[in-house]
Amino acid sequence: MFRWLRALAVSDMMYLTVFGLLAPIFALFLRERIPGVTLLTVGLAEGIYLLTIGILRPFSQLYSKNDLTGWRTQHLLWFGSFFAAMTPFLYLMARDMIDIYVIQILYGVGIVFCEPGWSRLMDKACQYRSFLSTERYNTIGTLTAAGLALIGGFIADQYGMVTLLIYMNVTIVVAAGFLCVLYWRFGLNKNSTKA
Amino acid sequence: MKSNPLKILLTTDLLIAGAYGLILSIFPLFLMDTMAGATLFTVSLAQSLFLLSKINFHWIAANYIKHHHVLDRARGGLLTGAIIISLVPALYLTVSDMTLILLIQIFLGLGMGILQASWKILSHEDIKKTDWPTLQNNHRHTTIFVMAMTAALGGFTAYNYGYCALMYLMTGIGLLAVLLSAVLIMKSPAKS
Repeated sequence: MFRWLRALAVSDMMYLTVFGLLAPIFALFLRERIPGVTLLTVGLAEGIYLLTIGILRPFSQLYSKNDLTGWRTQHLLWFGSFFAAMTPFLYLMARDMIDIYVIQILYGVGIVFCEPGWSRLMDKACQYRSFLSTERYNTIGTLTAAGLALIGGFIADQYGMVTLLIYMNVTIVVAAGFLCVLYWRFGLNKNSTKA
Repeated sequence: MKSNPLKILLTTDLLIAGAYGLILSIFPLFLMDTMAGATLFTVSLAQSLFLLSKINFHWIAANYIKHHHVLDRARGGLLTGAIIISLVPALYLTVSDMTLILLIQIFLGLGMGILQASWKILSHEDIKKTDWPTLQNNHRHTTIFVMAMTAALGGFTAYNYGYCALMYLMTGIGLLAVLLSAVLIMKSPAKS
């Protein structure tokens, strides 16, 4: 059991923080790649992402609240993982700020859809290992984000934004796949018949 | 949400999140536009140092507060953290070098770490009397909405009135949080 807990923590961390690679320099990426970017449009892009999360989160929580078997949560996780994994690729293809706004909405939807699955896995993990408290988990997550922010800046500085986004895309696809498998293996309550 | 201290605590947190959210999305652009020696790497380093500092000081502050005179220390920590955070925008305006920005980021992490540790302890004290999960959920949703609004507002302010006006706005909101923390200390009886 301890092994899968560690694997869960690692994949979850990768998933959460792979965007830590781009987050600190996202505004600079927009300025470099998208024509007509202003401070206002950058602020709006971030605002749209957060607003999407704020609006959709209660619905996703409600949807998976009484999900005893975990099947519904799994479907959310699949769709969320797909949207989140597509995001770096879509950033590369964006041509103007309207594209970026739409991608920000998709990214928000992806994160919100993945959250119930993560929470379910983390709840199970904390049941088995009391030391793996949410507090420690947050600490490890923040430290990983700090490290990845630094690596992201280095890659973008040395090899360019495109390299960084390709690297991000590969990492997030691997992490998303891993998390889906992990959920299928440990997140579902296969004995329960009630949906 | 019956008790006044709880309302003050939640409002303080929203104000700090709002002040910080104003610059969050455009911080890299601010650094590139105004600081000498700002590169993609140093901008990321600034963010990284903030996160490292925040998490380290959070642990230190939490252990210190829990050790003795818990409530007094937590209230003091809330005020200290709010003061540090409200000072940071003013410091951003006074420097023009990335090295100093890195130091300010560590300072901001110190303030954020102390504030978060104190806030968590104080809110647990008050919220455990009420419906904790519902209140926590509502507060989290409200914070997200506030940050979404302030991200757009921050971009709008910087675009139309410049970075200086944005920093003044941040300082003003931070000082409101300081004021509320001071009110919390004055209203609550001293106990350990």
